[in-house]
Amino acid sequence: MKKWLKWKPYIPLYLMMIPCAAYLLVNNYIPMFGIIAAFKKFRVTEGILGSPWVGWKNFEYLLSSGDLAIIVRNTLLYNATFIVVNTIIGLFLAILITEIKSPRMKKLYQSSILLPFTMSMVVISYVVFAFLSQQNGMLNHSIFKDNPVQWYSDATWWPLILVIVECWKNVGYGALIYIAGIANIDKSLYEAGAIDGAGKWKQIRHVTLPALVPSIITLFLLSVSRIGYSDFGLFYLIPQNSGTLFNVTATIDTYVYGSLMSPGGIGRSAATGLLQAVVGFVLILVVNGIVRKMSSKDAIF
Amino acid sequence: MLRKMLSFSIAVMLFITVLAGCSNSENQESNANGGSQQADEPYTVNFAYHAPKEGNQKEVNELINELTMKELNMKVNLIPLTWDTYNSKLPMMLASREPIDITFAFAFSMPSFIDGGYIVDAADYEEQTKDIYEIFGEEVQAGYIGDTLAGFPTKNVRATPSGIFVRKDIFDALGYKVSDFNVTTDDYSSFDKLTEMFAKVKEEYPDMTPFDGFRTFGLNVFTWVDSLGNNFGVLEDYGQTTTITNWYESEQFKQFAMLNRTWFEEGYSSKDIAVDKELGQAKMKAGNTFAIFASYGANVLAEMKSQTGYEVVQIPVSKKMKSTTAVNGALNVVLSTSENKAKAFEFLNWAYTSAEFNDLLNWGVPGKDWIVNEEGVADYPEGVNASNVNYHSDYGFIYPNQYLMTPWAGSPEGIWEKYQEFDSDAVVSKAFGFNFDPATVADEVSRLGTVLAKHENPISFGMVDPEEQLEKLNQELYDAGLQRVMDEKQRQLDAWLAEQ
Repeated sequence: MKKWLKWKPYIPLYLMMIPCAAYLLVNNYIPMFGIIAAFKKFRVTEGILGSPWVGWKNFEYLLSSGDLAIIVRNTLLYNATFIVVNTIIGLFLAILITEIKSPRMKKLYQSSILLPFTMSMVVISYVVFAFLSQQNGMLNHSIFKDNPVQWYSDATWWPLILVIVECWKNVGYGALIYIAGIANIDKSLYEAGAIDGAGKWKQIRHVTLPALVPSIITLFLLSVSRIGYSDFGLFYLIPQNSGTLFNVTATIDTYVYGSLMSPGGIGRSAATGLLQAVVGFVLILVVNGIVRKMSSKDAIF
Repeated sequence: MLRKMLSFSIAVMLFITVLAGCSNSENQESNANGGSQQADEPYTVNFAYHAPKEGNQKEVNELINELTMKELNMKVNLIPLTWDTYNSKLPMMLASREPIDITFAFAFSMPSFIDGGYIVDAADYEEQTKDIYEIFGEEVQAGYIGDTLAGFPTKNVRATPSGIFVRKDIFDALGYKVSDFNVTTDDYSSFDKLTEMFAKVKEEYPDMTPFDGFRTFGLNVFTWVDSLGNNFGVLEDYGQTTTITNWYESEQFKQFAMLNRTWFEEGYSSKDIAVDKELGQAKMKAGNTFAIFASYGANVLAEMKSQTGYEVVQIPVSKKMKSTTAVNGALNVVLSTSENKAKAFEFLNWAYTSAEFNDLLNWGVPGKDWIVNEEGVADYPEGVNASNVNYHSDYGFIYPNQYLMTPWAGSPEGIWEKYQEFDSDAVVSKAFGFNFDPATVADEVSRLGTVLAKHENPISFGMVDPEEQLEKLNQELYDAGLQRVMDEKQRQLDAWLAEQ
């Protein structure tokens, strides 16, 4: 009886949760059963259950590939770079935007940094091509007029190009969350700081940034869990799938895509997906554990 | 208390609405299923086909429906695919199990499609496809991959030689004649004449790109050698040998790479040539491309004119060869996603016999996109031309039966007979009729494909130095198991030859 009384106030909340939980179950948990495709020689006519088991064979393709080192290195390093760059630039932009006085202009800037986030990589790949085209591109006809660069065969610049494109597209999303975070900071803290003689820089360092730590950690953890995955559009479409750039643009996803439609492709992609998920899962446990050790209130779980 | 009650009742309502939503859609679904099972309801065939990039296919679809309702009591839903997106779109559609009945697919992707269980064995539906067997006769055998009759070839010209196509206005203005060019792979210095011409174009017309389009010598493997299903291990010299060799180590591939390298370095070919996936025909239509590379049939000049809007001159660069790949290059296949396979085959059978259907796919809406003129051939109506026509495909060879189509204006008289003649003097590969079954070397082939994807375009278009890159390519190919694939090919070929 006593227990029931304790639970009673929360019943509406639990009821409200049911649709979402059902959605999560249907959309995220039931499909997990497809994981077994990673251990099967998949044929659509026989279905997932009917297809024959092949053990670890599907993993061999990826793990025994001569390019394994390159694609793993690219996937991890690019993602790590994106996390760092997006956090720093996102914070920077968020702080700048919250300092804008006119509410109209603030809305304008906020929306315009978010706009690229809503664009498809296909569209962006053409925008990038307009810049980099070796025949008619804007860059080779302006800045690099006297010394044109073979953008799509010269690997030197691609790490930079990919980071710029990724940041341009995705930074708005993080920035928006930081802006919301800054809006929640108690204004009296700034006033108190100002009275004590803290300038703008000191206020940012000692009030804004510490208050944003929880949001930063949440976004960081979310990105770390996806470090084994790569944005397929970014690495496949933006370099126009140019073979000469393989060493700097191939990631696990683009590599597996190439073999998706060759015999046994479905099993191989499932195996790769499983590996990526396991790596992500382990990483997020580790990182969250570290965060919990350092400041337990900021950990996700 | 009131507030609590309110929030509680809202939560309950929300929950019920969601449940109701689920059950509603279930009802609808079961209704739809029940409907399609009724006998007189016409079956709708989902037909994935090669569509022109622009143009409204809805009207074409409606006209086709009128036709199929009358003759078959079926409906058709056209699913458009275009060249530039075909390779990425079709695999996605297959993997996601979209309910497609029929599509066209290329022989080289057939082993993986069969392995994945996407293809329905057409041999089980001979009853529904009698007309197709009659149209093709022996050639139906080319559709066999291993033990599966994967699909039916398209009825068109078989030999696929390649040529360079140049804008006639500029060609004439520079004072060239076709007889100036005698390009042959027996003497690679004969290709220099092309280089000279491009140099002249670049000098006299600085705004023109002399050579462009996403096709070139080294990529059109099937023109020069019998590639036996995939590029890994080929019969060189138009299939006039029975020894499997590595195409990427051949003198021919190297010469082509070096030629393209010269063009690239001198700026005769577009700097984006290996990056921009658009076909040359579209490039030429846009107005500042002088020459493109393409394989061709007997009616190429009229086709090129209708695809590019320019008069072109054809400079052949290869012999004509007839190989298995040329017959089964593109197959019309019925997919395992089809809800009613017998109906799908029945429709496919009809597609090979209906002139109207083939005309609609290729030329669009009669009276609007094309008319039959006084000479009895197809032409644009008054006020319509290549640049403002609504629907105009002119890829007749990819549709089921090109020989039934109304020829386009400018085609020679009796063009389809000419096509058959065109084939008759082709060099026939020694392996004509042989189909390689790659099942035992599937992993190697897949790995080789990845290696090739890295190097083939840059080397073929001359974007990189061929000397150094060729060595790297071949090293990587052998590392990926090229020798095993070649040995397996040789073994199967020898067994096949012994049977002949």
